[in-house]
Amino acid sequence: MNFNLNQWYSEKIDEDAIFDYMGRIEDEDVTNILESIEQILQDRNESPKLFKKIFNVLVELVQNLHHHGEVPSDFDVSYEKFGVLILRDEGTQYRICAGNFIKVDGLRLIRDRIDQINTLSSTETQSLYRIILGNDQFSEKGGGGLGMVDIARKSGNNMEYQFFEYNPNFLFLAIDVII
Amino acid sequence: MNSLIIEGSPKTPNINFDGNEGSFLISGRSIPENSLDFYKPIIEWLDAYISEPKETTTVNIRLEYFNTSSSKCLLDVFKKLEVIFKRGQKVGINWYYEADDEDMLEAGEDYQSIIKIPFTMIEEEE
Repeated sequence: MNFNLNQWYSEKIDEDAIFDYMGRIEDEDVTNILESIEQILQDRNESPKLFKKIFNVLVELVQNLHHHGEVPSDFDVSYEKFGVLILRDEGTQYRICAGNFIKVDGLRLIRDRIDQINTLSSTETQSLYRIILGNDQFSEKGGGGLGMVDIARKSGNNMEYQFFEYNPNFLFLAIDVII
Repeated sequence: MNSLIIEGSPKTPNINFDGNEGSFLISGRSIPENSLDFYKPIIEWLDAYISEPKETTTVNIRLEYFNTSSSKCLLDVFKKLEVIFKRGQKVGINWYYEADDEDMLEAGEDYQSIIKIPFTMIEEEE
């Protein structure tokens, strides 16, 4: 096995990490994660503008985990949605790291999507958002591909991502968003 | 016409659609995991309203946050009301946003660019 999740996770949790979660991402977990982070940001007296940006991006990232966080067959847990979320205060910026397993055949779609969004200017991101919003093509999960565009738009920064080979069928995808 | 009232929760908005007055309010947060389930009864209620609308319909949107899954559902709400606007009824949307919340202002402008109903952008103090 090439990728050690626990090692990767522990290396992310240093003194800059102000919130970290690894585990089940069912409805109630999404609620608990968002409430916890909201409380942390309130306690830090973060400016309303930055607070809202962070919260908006978090909502999309956590709900992405809820909708797409797979559990590999050899992963010894009793639930079906798994994800990792870490919020870091790096002094001049916040970094949100979201990680989940994906099936190997989903790699190209996600990679192309992020690469495409990362090439866009802020005006182009806004235009793409409006096109997707207005085109009536939404997935059963409701997002219609708007989530990633919204994250890019609200953060104003490129998304950084890494894929790690977990086993022949699954990859671990880690996305970093800087705000 | 009856009214539609749904109390808000930490993830779903307050809905207060007064069918007699033609005055509609959506406020709070709209960040459910499955927005389609939440908005389905609202769309159904609007289907009944637009068959017998008031002469003037005013929509007030006072949202703190909404997720992208809700954004499509909000568009569906506006599209329902656009039907009666195109028939010649008066419809207006007041889009409230907190001062400095450029993202919420831009979100209103996104809808304004897609929907023909007149929007009024209203800035509020935090």
